[in-house]
Amino acid sequence: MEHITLSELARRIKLSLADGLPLPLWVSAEIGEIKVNRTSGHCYMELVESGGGSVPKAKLSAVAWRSQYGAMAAHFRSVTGSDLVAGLSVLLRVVVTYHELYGLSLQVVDIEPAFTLGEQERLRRQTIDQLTKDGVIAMNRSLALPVVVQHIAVVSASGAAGYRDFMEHINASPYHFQITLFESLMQGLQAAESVIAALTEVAERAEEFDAVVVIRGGGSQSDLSCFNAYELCFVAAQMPLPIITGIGHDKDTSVMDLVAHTEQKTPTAVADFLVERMREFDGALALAEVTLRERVADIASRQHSELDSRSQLLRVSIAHLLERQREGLARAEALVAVASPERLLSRGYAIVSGPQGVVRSAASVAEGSEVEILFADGRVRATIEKVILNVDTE
Amino acid sequence: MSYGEAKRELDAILARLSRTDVDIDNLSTDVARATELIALCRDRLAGIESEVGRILKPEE
Repeated sequence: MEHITLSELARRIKLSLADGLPLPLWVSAEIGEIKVNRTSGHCYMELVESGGGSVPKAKLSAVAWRSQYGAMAAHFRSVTGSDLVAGLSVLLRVVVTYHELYGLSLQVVDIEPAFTLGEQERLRRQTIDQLTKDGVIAMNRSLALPVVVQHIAVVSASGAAGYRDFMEHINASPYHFQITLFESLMQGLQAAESVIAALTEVAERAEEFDAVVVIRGGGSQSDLSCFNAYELCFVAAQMPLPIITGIGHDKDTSVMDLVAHTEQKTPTAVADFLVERMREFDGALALAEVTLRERVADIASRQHSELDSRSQLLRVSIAHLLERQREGLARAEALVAVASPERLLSRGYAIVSGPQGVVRSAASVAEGSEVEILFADGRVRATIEKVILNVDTE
Repeated sequence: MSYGEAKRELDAILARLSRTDVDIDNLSTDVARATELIALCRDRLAGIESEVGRILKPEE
């Protein structure tokens, strides 16, 4: 039977590859795995294209030689603010080679960072649109952050510099915080899933905490895409506790930051935010205490002066009253004095009495009758000689 | 008797004393009662003040 050798087959594959593929080519893919060999400096990647399910649509190994990798990674970082890490969508310029012994391999010779930015922005937009459609995007923001945030659930990686920074600032404050760490991966392909698990655990113990702090960072900028993932943001938006983020990037705001109750740039900023909030409350308490003291003093002094004025009023009223009574008595005494017969007699009047008592009218005495006339210094007895009535008297 | 009650009674006596038809026979009784009420209020106020002062004393 006609046949060719294995090496001949390999040679023909190599040839048809060289003829059939105009190389290099721009290829879009997702970085499934990435590793830089410490000694050689070469970078090895697994490139995948997700098909939506658990099995990718395509998967190929690729390498970027040290000579090209360094410049590519630096360029990528300067544009996107992120290192080349697993989970990123990238546009790579690749050369495909086939080796008789080592098989098919891709060499990466260039990268277009703008594509990654575009992809991230597209994912971001898509996540935001979906969360808006779900009606959950503003849910966490609408929760009330307690005035005193003291019992705090922290979602972070325990060894991370960001977590250390956060704890240092919290511990340096004069206030007492109760921090419970819920460990989670904060970057890489499993990060979103891991953060969801941590948040779910926090939600189950929600009544123990005032807020959730999600922190990452310190050190180099890295991939944000897990914080744009729809599934994570969907869970975060519906957390029963207010979320405070310090994801450690200043280039861009993730959707996670957007749905969170409060966004801070770094873990340190989150700690400062919490301490500052406590300080404000402390100040308000001190002010309230001063105000309370002042109010009490005001009330007491008002009551004192009210009692003083009543005491004064009592004295004055009594004095007036007694004075008025004295005056009334004096007036009465004067009236009595004016009306007394002794006074009248001493002024020249006299009182005439007959057998029927005091004589008040000339007509009431008969001529020849006897009367008695009373003077201040004595009496005289007299006989009526003549009665002369006034002419005009009827 | 509460501070408020004492003060209300005191005010009633003072109002009565400012009228023209004062009952002079009861005047000394009224004045004695008013003086007693003022003393009672002052005493009560001082007690309340010192109690509030103790409550507001900064914790050691």
